Amino acid sequence: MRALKAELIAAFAAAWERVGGNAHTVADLAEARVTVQSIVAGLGIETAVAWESPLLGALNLAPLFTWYRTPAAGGPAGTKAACAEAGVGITTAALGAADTGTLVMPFGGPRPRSVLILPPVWIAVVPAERLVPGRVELFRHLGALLKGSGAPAELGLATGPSRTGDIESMLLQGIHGPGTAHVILVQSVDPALV
Amino acid sequence: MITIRVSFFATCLVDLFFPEVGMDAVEVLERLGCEVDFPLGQTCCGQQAYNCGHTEEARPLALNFLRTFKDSEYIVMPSGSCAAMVRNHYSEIFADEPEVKKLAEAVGARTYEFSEFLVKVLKVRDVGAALPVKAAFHSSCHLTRDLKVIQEPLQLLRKVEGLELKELERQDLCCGFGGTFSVRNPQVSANMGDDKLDDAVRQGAEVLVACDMSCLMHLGGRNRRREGDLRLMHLAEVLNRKEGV
Amino acid sequence: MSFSDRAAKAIAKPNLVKATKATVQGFFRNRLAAYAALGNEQVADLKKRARAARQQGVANLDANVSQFAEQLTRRGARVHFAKTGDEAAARVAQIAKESGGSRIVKSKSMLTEEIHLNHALEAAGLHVRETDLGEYIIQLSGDPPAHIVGPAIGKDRYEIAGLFSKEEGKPVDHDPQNLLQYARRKLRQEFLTADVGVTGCNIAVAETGTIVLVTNEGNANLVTSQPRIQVVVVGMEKVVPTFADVEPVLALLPRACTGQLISSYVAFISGPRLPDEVDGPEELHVIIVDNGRSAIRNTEFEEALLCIRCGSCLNVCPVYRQVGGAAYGDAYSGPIGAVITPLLRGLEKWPDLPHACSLCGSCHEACPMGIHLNDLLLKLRQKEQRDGLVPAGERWIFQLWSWAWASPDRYRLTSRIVRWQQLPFSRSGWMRWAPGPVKGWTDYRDLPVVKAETFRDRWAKRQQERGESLEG
Repeated sequence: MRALKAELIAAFAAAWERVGGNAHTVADLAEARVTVQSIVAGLGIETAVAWESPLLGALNLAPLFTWYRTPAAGGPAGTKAACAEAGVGITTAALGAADTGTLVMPFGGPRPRSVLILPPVWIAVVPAERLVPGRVELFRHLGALLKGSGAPAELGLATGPSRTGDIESMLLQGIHGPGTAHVILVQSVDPALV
Repeated sequence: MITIRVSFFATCLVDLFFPEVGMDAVEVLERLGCEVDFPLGQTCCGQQAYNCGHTEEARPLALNFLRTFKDSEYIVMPSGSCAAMVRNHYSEIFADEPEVKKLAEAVGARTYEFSEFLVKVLKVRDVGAALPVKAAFHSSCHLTRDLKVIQEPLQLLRKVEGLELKELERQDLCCGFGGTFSVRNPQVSANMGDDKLDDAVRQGAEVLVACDMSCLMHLGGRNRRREGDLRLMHLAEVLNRKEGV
Repeated sequence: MSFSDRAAKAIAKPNLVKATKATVQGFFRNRLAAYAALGNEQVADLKKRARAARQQGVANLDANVSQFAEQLTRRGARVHFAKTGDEAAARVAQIAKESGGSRIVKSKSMLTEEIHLNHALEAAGLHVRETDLGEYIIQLSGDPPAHIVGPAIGKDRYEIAGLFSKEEGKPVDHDPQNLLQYARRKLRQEFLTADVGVTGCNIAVAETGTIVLVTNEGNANLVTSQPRIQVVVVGMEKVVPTFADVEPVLALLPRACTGQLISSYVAFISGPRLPDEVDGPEELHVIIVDNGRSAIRNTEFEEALLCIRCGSCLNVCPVYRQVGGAAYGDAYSGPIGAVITPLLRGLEKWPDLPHACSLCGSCHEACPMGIHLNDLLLKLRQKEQRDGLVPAGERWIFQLWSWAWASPDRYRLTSRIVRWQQLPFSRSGWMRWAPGPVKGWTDYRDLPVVKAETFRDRWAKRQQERGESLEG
């Protein structure tokens, strides 16, 4: 069980890095917080928008920033404006497929699309429990999400940073979505938060 | 040893423009123990018309081919495109004529492109040829994609004494002949030919070999116009040489 | 203008030709590498299932489209049907106007090119901005798409900088990172101030009423999250029956396009935003477009409807690489363009496109859906015959040739005549100039003269020398 989890973490991290993302593997939420702190300090980021989730709540990231906005606080206009201003967008993910380094983003009230796509930097904090091997499991999960009651209006998949090859076929990052994408894979998280 | 009787279909291009290729092919087959006949009723397989959508105009030529070769045990031709036409497309021409369609399928089953026949039926790869040149092979489209004859020409070329086989960067790319395409879109056709010739030259080839005179006529004609040094040869010509030994 | 003329214009731009060849070579190699990583068996399985999914989609098109529309409507979307491209474009304009908005952002959609959407929107006084970087560049330059996947192939950094500088009214440096940041900033403003977002649709799912959008840039995500109104334009042939059908198509599409395992972003959209959401469209409109597709169904050309617009055929086409997309004269280029432009617009208007092809068969070999594009091109040529679209001169030549070469005696005689006609214009057995239909040949190549002694003659001589019968 443990070995499988370690393999999934390693595979996901490798796949994420292969597409130009930055992957971090940490033991627990405390280490995750330290990682977030070092990322934002390194990039000089002072403002953040984030999804509301028990996991992110437990991380208590607000003190790391000048301001840290979530949907509850901002309301529609406020949140979108904050997303347009913020230096980083912080999310979790419902699932991660290790073979491609793909995260499942179930958008909803507490989890706006704009947090993922507007800021120039994206940090995703993902419990290792949520990693699955590949496409087959991914699609099983997606199907369940979309066919169940409470299905989201939009469900996203995101794999690393935003990219384009339209200038002389050169691969460049950050054309519209975030150019820098960090995933923090947390080995053990309180089950209540997962 | 049972002698294999082969009926030779020269193809119109070989008959009219490159008869030496036909002679080379016949001599190779005979040297390998075949008894070759040349049914006099033969003309042309009709692919030019068929490929332009003029199916009706191809029909009389296809009928003539079937009539001429219906009693042949093996029909061998120095052309992948003609063999593909007979084997894969005659049944489409006669789709609504069940009796002729049956004949077409039977004749098609006995129809072979030259290199295919050597390797698959005669089970020979070394024909005792010798030609000390650096040669690259262009795998013509109908030969590889229609007839699925891919390895056989290379297997034969590898056994030619002294021949150094160079690999084209894009062996698979069409040479640009394409039948009437060559005159409907002549500039594009010529540029496609240039890319193929340039590829051969870049690989250090002195000779460019193919199994279809359609490709070689187009590439050869372009090579002449460019005053290139490359020599273009049909596989049969290569296999009938014993030089520099 | 004929394909030949447009091709000549393209060939006169060596940088474009060089860029086209380099780009398709890259795409081609990347696709092969991605397929190799999966292994032949898996690739074959994915192709089989993807083809089956789309085939079932088309086979039960009416039921699937109905279910797709029903599911979306249940979730609060408004579904519209457009018989023609003009109708679809007009409906988009109408939706925008009724919303009180005038600023539109759109993500890349070949269907919107096909229906000339931007032209219709601008004519209606609306501001429309392409947000895919490649599409933005050609929107500024006024060019048609150069490639189904890479619209701006052939535009180098200097040209792009020139376009940006002109648009900005002051110099924009040509460094690629700088160009990227410029486009990001400029288009970000468009996203944030747009009233309407327009997208196409890569895969449409009947079972769940889901629109699947695939991008690397993330522009579709911005188009679908920021504006108040979203409009999705989808070809009716795109609907697959079940959500399970998405998997093989989505596994193949990015691999076939660019060799990627998956695109950076995939969006599954099933309705407008939920009441508690802060972003996403308040109104979602889905326009299901026919524009000639129903006329292709249940014909010998139906297979063309399976296309997933991956560009694989362009990347292997020996003709496309010489001339690029603009030579095909319409939204779709390469082998798929040569097939569907005549089918959608009318063969009588595009009679030379099916001949912009040497029938090499690479397209069929490359197509992840297994479409027999080469056969379809041949069938289009046959249809030209039936529809009387072949010039009389050409018909006459083939009829004469057919009569002459059906008999060995007439074949021999006419071949002699051809030789006699060639001789006055030839030297050492070659012609450098020929009149009439063959002139195209000699413009670029030497043409051999029919030999004095044909193979038939040499065989006869040999048989005589050996004392054997003529036939042997």
